[in-house]
Amino acid sequence: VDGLGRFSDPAVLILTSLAGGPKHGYALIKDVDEIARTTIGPGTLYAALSRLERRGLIEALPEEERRRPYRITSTGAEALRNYLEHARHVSAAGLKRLQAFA
Amino acid sequence: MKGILLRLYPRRWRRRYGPEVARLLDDLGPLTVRRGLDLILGALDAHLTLEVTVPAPVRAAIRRALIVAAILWLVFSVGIVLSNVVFPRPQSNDDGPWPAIAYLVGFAAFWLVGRLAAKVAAGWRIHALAGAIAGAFLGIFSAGTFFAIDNIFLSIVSQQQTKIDGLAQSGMGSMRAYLNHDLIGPLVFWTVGFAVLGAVLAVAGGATVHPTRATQESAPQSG
Repeated sequence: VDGLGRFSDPAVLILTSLAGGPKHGYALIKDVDEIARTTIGPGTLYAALSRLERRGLIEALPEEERRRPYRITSTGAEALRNYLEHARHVSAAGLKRLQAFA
Repeated sequence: MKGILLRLYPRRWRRRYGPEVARLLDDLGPLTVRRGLDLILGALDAHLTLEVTVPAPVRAAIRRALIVAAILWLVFSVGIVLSNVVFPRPQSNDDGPWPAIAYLVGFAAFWLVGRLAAKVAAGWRIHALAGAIAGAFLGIFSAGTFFAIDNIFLSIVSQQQTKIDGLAQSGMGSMRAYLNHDLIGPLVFWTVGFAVLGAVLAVAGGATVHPTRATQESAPQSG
């Protein structure tokens, strides 16, 4: 996830969405909108999807009516877990320090 | 409008993702300005991403060419530093057999680039591209080495008789300005000349490798 540059944020959102099960492009956009309250554009979505696929973090499933679902791989799940645990650590430290301002 | 925006993407990208993105745009409904801009940026990104636009065998061939060129440049740079800075010969214009040997080694390296490229990708155009890139790399970076040495060790380099004579004939005001101006010609000549020579010799080198089934199958399709 770290090597995805400016696409790392959409990539994390996509991996998080796919952790709940395979989804195609439209379902991904709707799910990310729901869990993160942010809208990923189609160009950004597919730039991130192609990077994730090339790195083996997700894989494409057979196309159904021009919709191709994607599934998170075990490598992708591990990368997402590592990222989120690191984020939780940073979040916990930040919230603890912010208590001084309460 | 959606079709026009999708045509902005590279052909290889469209072959892989085109139908599903077209379907996604249908699902999303009317195209908004924001979505359109996002697609334009996505197309730009796809064009700038070598993993998308350049097939893997070609990337592998170029990578090998750059490795050979980088090693050669390092060796040449050591030689340039030794002959111009460490053991300078201010009164002599004779560098002995070394320039000729350096050129021969360079030619052999371009030939090797073709062989190495042919082991990962079939097609003389790819071998020529790899050789041309190696040649251009060597030309640019060798000129860069001279530029660095001329400017960092100006007091040593400026004692060479050829440089003193050249400065006098140029009518320029300072040795530094003369040396830097004098490098423009070699920069262009080496870059273009080595690129052409690299392409030719790499094709020759590549022709000595019998294409395997793997390289033939991985060769990019034309069109």
